[in-house]
Amino acid sequence: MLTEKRNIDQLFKEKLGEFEQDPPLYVWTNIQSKLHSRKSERRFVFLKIAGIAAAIFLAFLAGWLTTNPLQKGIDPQNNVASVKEDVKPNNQSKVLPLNPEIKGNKVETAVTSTVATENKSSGSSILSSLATFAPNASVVSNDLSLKQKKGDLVLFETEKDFLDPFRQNLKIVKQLTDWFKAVGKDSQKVERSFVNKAPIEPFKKYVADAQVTPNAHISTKNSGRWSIKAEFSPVFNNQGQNSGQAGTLNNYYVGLSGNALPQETKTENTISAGMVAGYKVNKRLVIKSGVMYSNLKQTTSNISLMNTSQVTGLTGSSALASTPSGQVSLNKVTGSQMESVLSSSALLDNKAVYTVGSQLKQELRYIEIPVQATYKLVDRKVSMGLNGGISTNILVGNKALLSENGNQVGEGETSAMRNVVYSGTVGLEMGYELTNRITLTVEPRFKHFLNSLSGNKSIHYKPSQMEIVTGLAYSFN
Amino acid sequence: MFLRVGFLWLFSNKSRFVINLEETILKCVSGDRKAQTALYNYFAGKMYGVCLRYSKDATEAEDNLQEGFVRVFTKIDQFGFKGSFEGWMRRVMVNTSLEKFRKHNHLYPVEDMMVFEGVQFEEDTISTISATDLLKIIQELPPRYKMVFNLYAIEGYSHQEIADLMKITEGTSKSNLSRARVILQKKVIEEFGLEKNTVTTTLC
Repeated sequence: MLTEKRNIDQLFKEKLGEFEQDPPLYVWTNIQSKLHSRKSERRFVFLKIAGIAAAIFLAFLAGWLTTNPLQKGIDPQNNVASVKEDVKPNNQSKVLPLNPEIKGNKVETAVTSTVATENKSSGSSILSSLATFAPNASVVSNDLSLKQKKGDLVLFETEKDFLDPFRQNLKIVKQLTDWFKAVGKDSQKVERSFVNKAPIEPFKKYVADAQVTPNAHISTKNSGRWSIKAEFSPVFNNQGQNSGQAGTLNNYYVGLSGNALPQETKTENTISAGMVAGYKVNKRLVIKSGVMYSNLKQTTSNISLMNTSQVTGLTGSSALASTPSGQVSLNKVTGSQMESVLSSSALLDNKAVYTVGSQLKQELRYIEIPVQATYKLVDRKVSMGLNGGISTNILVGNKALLSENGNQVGEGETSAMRNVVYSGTVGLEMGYELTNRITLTVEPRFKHFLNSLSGNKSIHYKPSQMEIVTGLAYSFN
Repeated sequence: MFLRVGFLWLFSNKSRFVINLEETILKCVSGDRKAQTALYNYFAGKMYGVCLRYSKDATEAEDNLQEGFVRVFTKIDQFGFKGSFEGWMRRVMVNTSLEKFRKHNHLYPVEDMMVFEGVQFEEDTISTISATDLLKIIQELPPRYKMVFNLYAIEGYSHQEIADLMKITEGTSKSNLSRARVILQKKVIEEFGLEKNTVTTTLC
C-alpha cells in the first residue's frame, strides 16, 4: 500500500495554513485605545484647520484694516452732516433761520464755521448742522464730476483699480490651498502610506473570488478633484445697521408739505447668481472660488431733500437726500412738486425740505469674488457640509431713482460708496448626487458685510443677507 | 468558512459565538464598539496565526496584529463587500507584516541559485509533527526567507507577485525560496529525528 507523501511546502501549508492561536488579552485593549486616540487625533486636526482658518481670517482683517481700501478724494471730515447736540423736530416753525456763512457760497468758510459752531453752545446746533451739510454736497459733487462718467455706473479710474481685487483674491486662494494641503497631508499620512503600499493581489489560496477592489463609491468620490458649479439664489436682505449720522436731516422738516412723517427706509429682496470652481483638497475639504453677481436695493419714503445748486454754484435742479446707506446726490430733478419744492425760497436758502409722496430707490450692484472652504461631514449620495468664506465685493453699479407718485422725477447715485468691500459667509451645504458627475446642491447661507459699504467714516452700513443658494455642480475626471 | 458575506452567519469553530458578518461589518463602518469587539473576537485567532508566521516571535506578531486590526477598523469602509472579508483581512495582516519587515530589513539581491534536494515526507511521520513545532521552525528562518516562503508556499503567490511586493527580482525570490526550503527541510529532519528511509529525496 502506497502511503501519501508530502514535500516541505505541503507539510507547512497543511499544518500552518489554518493555524490559529488566541492572542493575549491586552492586544485588544491596545487596539481599542489606539482607535480612540485616532479619533482624538482627527478632532485635533479639525481644530487645527479651524485655527488656521481663523488665523487667515484675522490676518486678512488686519491687512484690510491697515491698507484701508477707501476710495480717494473725499475728506470724511467734510462729508458728514454732524450734529452732536439734541435736536428736536420743530413742526410749528418749519422754516429755519438762514446760515449767514453759507449765503456767500464760500465752502471753505462754511467748513471753518462748522468746527467753530460745534464747539459753541447748543443754540447754534441747527445752524451748524446745515452748515456742515452744505460743504458736504459740494465735495460729493466735485468727486462725482471726476468719477461719474455714465449716468448710473461708477467706473474705475484706472485699470489697476479694477484688477487689484482680482489679484488679491487669487493670492488668497493660492495661500489657502497651500495651507489646507499641508494640513491635509498630516491628517492623511497614515491612510496614504497604507493605501499606496497595500498590494491588491488576491491570495490564491483563500478565495478564488477574492478580487477585492476598492469601494467603487469612494473611488469615484476621490477621482474628481475639480468641479464647477452654477449658483442661483434669492437674497433676503436685512436692514443694515446704521449708527452714523447721515440721517440727521430726518429731524428737520422744512418746506411745503403739511405733515412731517418720519423718513422710512426699507430693503428689498434681490437675486444673486454666478459660477464657482471647486478644488477637492482631500476627502472632506473643498476650496471654492468664482464670480457672483449680487445687488442690494432699498427704498426710502418721505425723504428730506436739500438743494445743492446754490451751494455748488451749478445751474439746474440738483438735490441731496440723506439715507441710512449714505447721502444721495440727485440731478435733473423734474416734476411739478419737486421743482416747486426745490425752487422754493426755503430751498434757495439751503434748507432741507421734506417731501410727500416721493420715493427714493437706491440700487447697488456688486461683482462678488468668493473664497470659500467646505468641510464635508457626510460625503455620500446625499452629502452635507459646513461652508464658510470671505468674499471681495466690487461695486459695479450705483443708481438712485427719485419718483413722485410713481413717476420718475430725478436720478443720481449714492455718494461716497466704497469700490471694494468685504463680506463673510457661513452656511450649510446639502447635496444630492444626480449622477456620478452632477450634484444638485441647496445651501442656506448667511452673509454679512465686514466693512461699511459707505466710505464715509460716520456711516456704518453693514447689511446682512440670507441666501438660499441652489446650485448644479459638475465634477471633472 | 470562506463563503461570500451578505447572507452569512459565521459560527466559530470553538462554538463560542455566532455573528452576522455583514451586519457586523456595517456596524463597524459606523464605528460601533460592540461590533468591533465581536469582529475582533471572531477573527483574532486566525489573524494572530497569520502574524505569527511572518514574525520572529510572539511580541512582533502581537505588534503586527494590533497594527493590522487598527487598519482593518479604520479602512473597513473600503472593503466594499466584494470577495471574502477574511481574505481581505488576511491581506491587511500580511501587508502590515511586510511593511514592518521592509522597515527593518534591507534586501540584498541573492541571485545564485542553489540546488534544492527535496524530500518527501510520509504521512505517518507528518502526523507526529505539531503546528506549533513547525511555527517555531519557520520563525527562526532569516527574515527574507521567511517572507518569501510564507508568501509562496502558504499564501500561494507567484514569484512575479512576490517580486513586485517585496521590490526584488524574480530570481531573488526563487533563490530565497530555495534557501528557505533547504533550511526548513534540514531542521524538520533534525528536530524530529526522521530516519533517511522515511524520506524520499528528489531534485527540484
